[in-house]
Amino acid sequence: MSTQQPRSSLFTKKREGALQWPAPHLSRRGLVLSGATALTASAAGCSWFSTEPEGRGGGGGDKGREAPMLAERVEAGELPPVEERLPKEPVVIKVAEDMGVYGGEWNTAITGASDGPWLFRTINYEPLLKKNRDFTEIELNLASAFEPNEDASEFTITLREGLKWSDGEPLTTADVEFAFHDVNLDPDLTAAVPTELTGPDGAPAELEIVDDRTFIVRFSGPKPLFEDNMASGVSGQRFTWYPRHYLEQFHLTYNPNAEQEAIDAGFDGWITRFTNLGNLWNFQWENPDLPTLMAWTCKQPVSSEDYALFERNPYYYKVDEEGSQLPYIDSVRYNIIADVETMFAHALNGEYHFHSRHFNDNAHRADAVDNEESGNYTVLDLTSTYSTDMNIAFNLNHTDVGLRKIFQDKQFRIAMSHAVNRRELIDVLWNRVGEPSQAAPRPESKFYDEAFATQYLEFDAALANQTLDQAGYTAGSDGVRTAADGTKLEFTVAIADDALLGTTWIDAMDMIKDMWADVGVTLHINAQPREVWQAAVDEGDFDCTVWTGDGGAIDETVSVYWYMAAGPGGGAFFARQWSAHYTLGGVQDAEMVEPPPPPITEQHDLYDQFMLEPDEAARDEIFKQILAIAKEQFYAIGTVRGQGSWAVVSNTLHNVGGEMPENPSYGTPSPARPEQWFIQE
Amino acid sequence: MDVKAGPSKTTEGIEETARPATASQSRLVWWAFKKHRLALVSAWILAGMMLVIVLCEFVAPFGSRHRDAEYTTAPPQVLKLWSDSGFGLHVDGYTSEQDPRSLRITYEANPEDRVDVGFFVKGEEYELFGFIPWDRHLIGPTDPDDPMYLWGTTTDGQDLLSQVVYATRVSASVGIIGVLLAFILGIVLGAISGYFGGWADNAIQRVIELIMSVPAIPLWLGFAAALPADMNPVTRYFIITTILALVAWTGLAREVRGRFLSLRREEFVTSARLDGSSHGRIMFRHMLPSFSSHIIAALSLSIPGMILAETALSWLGMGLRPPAVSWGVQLQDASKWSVLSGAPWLLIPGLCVVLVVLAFNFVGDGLRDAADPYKH
Amino acid sequence: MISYLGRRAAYMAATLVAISLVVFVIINLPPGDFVTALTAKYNVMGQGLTEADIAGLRVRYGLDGNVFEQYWHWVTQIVQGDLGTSFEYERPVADVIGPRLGATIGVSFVTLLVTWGLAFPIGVYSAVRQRSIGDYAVTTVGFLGLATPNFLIALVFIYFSVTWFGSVPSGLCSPEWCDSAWNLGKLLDLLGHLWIPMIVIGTGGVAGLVRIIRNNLLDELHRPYVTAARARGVPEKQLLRRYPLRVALNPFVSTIGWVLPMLLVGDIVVGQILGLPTLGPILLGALRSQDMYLAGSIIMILSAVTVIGTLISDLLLGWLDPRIRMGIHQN
Repeated sequence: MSTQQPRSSLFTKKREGALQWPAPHLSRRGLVLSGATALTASAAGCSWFSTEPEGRGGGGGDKGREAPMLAERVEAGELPPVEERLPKEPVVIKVAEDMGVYGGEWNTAITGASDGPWLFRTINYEPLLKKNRDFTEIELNLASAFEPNEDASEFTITLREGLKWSDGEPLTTADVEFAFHDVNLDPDLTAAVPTELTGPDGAPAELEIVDDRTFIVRFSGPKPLFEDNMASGVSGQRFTWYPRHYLEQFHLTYNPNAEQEAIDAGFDGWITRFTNLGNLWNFQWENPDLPTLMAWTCKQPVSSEDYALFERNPYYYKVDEEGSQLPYIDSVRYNIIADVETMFAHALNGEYHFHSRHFNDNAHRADAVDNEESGNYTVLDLTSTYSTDMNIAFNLNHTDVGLRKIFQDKQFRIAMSHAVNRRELIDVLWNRVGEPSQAAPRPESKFYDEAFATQYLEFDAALANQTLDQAGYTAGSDGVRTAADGTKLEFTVAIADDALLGTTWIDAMDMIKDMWADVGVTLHINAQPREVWQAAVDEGDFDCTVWTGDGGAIDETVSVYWYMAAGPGGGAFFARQWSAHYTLGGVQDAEMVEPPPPPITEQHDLYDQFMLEPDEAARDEIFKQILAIAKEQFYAIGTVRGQGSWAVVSNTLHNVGGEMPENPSYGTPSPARPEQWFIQE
Repeated sequence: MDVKAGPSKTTEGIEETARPATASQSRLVWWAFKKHRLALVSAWILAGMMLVIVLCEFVAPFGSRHRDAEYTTAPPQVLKLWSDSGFGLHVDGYTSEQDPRSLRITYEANPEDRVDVGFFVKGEEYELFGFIPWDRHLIGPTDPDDPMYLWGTTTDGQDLLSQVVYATRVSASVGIIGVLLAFILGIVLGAISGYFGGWADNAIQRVIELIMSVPAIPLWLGFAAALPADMNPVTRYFIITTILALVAWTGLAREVRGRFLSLRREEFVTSARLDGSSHGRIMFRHMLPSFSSHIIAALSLSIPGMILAETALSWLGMGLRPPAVSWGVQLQDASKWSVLSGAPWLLIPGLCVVLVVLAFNFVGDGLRDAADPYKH
Repeated sequence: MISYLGRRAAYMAATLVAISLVVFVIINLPPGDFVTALTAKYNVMGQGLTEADIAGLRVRYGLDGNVFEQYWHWVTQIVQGDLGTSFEYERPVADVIGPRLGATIGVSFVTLLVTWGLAFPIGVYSAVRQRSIGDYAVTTVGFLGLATPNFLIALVFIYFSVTWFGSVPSGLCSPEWCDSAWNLGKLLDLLGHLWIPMIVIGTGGVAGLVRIIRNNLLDELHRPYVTAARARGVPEKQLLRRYPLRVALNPFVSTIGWVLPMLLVGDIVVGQILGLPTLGPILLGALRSQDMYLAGSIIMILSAVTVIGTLISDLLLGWLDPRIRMGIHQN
């Protein structure tokens, strides 16, 4: 594993690297096809040296305070010296293992322009505050001070002195003001005020600018989670994503001609243009002119044909403990490869330095491990944070009253859980490695409750049959059960089907179909393209669906949708309408088939309290009450807690620091600080 | 090419009337067809495939939902006649081992564990042709719980041979039913277009041109994506077939039109008209039979296109979806790195596609060559 | 002739209008729209969009009006030469398509050469030596290309390329050559990447063309004029070269119109696997994410090329083949 390489080997290896490295690779490439390509390879020799990191003589004991490529530009007079580029007190990053060397290109891949999440996870975690690697503590990042008042309703935030955008302009509270008033609160650009910027009553916060570096965010009541919000990937960057000096010219408020100029430039209007150049989440990947705070800034956008390229930001605000400016790696290259299997072929060939997406599942594991040596990489296990890899949700808000009554019957759900032979699922679909579990926090979570995680878990068809009999579902002549009102226990599971998700869920539900048939329940399987499935789920037009058990660890209190009718992304699958009722404050109640019953509303009230409670321990207690209700109500059925995914880490990439969680809220691998990773043979 | 085919058909039409009384045209075609060896072999292959389609529950050693959690991705076994414990058809059982890090499970044949195999053995119950209850299988382990996986197993522990047999029924019938639908559309519209000419011809030609101008895959994708979400696999299957047919009829219609165009001024047509035959009768009784073998040839040549279209659509995730089994679905599962590196037997469905497509092509070519028995 | 041309042009225009309608309907058939797809995407990132966000996005992308308005908007834009804006790429469609057009035409052209280069000799050989072992052998090879699903061959090629040569031949250039100026090295590198799509897409079309050539030639070889020439003692080779071969060349002209869409269909699948910078993969992506202006424009362009190609091939055929030319005048 690259991350455990002993330091002593660095020097001997490095020397060889500079000279020897291209040679074996060339000879392998030379065989590609006939003499023609062999010629290519040797003709290509020169450019191999110039494009490849190891050829650059950087590194060694004295790496200096900045990357050689920037030092050159300083010498040429294109850039001010590094002391002037860094903030007065730069963020000091403790390297995971070794002091790095400058240079190199981090090679990875995306499936296309719509694959923003991987870029987001790799190079866009620059919030006001920052979580540590274990995701347990919050540290200062862009902010040099962050002070809540007594009841956590008012936050005084100071920006680090001397922070600069990637074009050298200073980052000040003027940018914060612009971001807040002219983007986040502008209904043309942001349709609804982001929840992290609203107070307990739903009204947007107030912003007070104190001076160039200090601003105060004031809410209508306590907002203890604001600190946590400001350390998360999206919410924490709301104040600092928008370089005012660049974006003002496209904004109608600041440029009365913005509309006409946008139309002249080929856009529908200024809103489209502004959005294209600097709003929503994908702008950083698309606009090379946009000044940013990222370690690497866009040189070639993701909508290119072959690859996207991001190059080091000369004004990046972080240094290592020796005071050398980060990042160590010169550039990040995202090759655009639409087909996951082809991408996997590149990975096996050892072409990616770090990659933990697209193909890092059970099905690809064996080949990845078997090719470690020839590909000169290591398969790094990531810690799973899912309660289970597939939770089953029945639609408690079903429009059909017959099915709704069945799905809302806890005895029915208990019977369905007992009817699932999880061991067989593990043997067939989880490479024989995994634990049966319910949709409950994982053992390593502070909210772990063994009884919750293991209730109704044992496979017992007789017990399932008995439970169904007692609950009044009688079997007909064809063996299919019917409820007292005549509704057949026959329904369809809607499954999202795309290349990223693989077919495990479809196969698993296909097996469960037989298991449930044994207890007199007929299941149909409907695998749909991801987009179609999403539309059906959002409209509540499904009987039953499956998804990963988010919120098993790390983000239990955020991704709450397996425990209660709330949470991001439309809320709980088992109760879409009750979730909307809670998150939208009743706006859509007219469409609701049924008002939420007491246990649901009780959880909603508790979650409100949770949001307002400034004391962490007390907050956890409240959340445990929410979980206790979830355990009692048994909303959703869990299946298998599998081994978790993995990453491909090149043996030439250092400082990754070993195992880390795989989780969308964590944004694997960004809390592992890619800016201090370095590439060396 | 229908344009150029015209003049040569004139001669055929004339000779048509001078047919010798002793041999019917179909007999002549058959004689000519037999000369094309490859076509003849292919015809036998297709006949075998038809049998598999009809008798699929009997041919498959296991039921379509049989699954063996103990043997996932197990390699094919070899049928043997002789072992230490004596003579008799059998296969060796497996021993398996799992690598703790890669989690790969590797299987070895275990000669100690003899699995007896028989013909017409008792196995899972089924209904032949949908109504005759039976439990015999063409080949299978004498103890139905024993592992006998002649073509290995899939990644989720299903017998590949059985799965391929079931998939053959689905995929081959997509081709055949789809072509039949296309055939009816093509014949009727092509005949009207060629026989009446004028505005009807013009209108139909424009429609054909329109359909042919829109690239086929987006057409399929659009239609396939529009299918209602809660559709069961059988309905989905028929609709996909229909979609394929809706796109595929145009070629046939052009062919038929060309023939009609060249035939409509023939003497036998004129005389039929003078006899007072209706248009329908002239078209479908007099004109159509005179080039029926051409149509059969065109038909068998378009079936492969249908089968391949199904595989492509399913591969793109827009055709049949698992858990339905078809060649396309199986190939989608097989177009994985892990299959090439560790389970190449899962590519067998691909061989089936190649074999059947080749067979249909050769039969079609043989028929086309034989269609004009007087020509050579 | 002028009136014939005029009529054809009118038909062509009408066909294009009809195509635009069909295309628009196809794109709008699947349930949901681009915003649904976007929502799905952000849910995966753990960033849910609120209902208000979604409504806002619909307005922004012009998806709030009814279908007829959207169609009218799209068509009038196209007539003015504006292909609209791609939702997914957030750029004008022309900017997205433009850079890929070159690669698409290049790959198509090379593939076409391969198809023709293989089909012509095979077709002629199998017609002249009908039912010989050679005929069977070459037609089998031709059909193999047709019979093997493209995605499978492509993946098998990649597999062997990696295990034997340690290189993944995806894309059209190796990283080090992508930005280099054109020189011999880059050309050779390009060829090193081009051979797989060339073979995979090209062979698919060979069988069909072989069959047409073979049948045309067979028809022609049994014509009285050939028999007459043979009777007069014209040597076989010369006999073949005089007229029948020229007739056998007709399919090259008559297929011009259909060639591009056929190649693109191959490109959708193969381009996806091999990561080619061509139109196929982005068309697939656009159809999936319902990026309607992008998908619509690509299909429209292809259809237009097909329609125009058909017209050209009809005119060329008339010019080449007097029999058809006469037929035109009779009409």
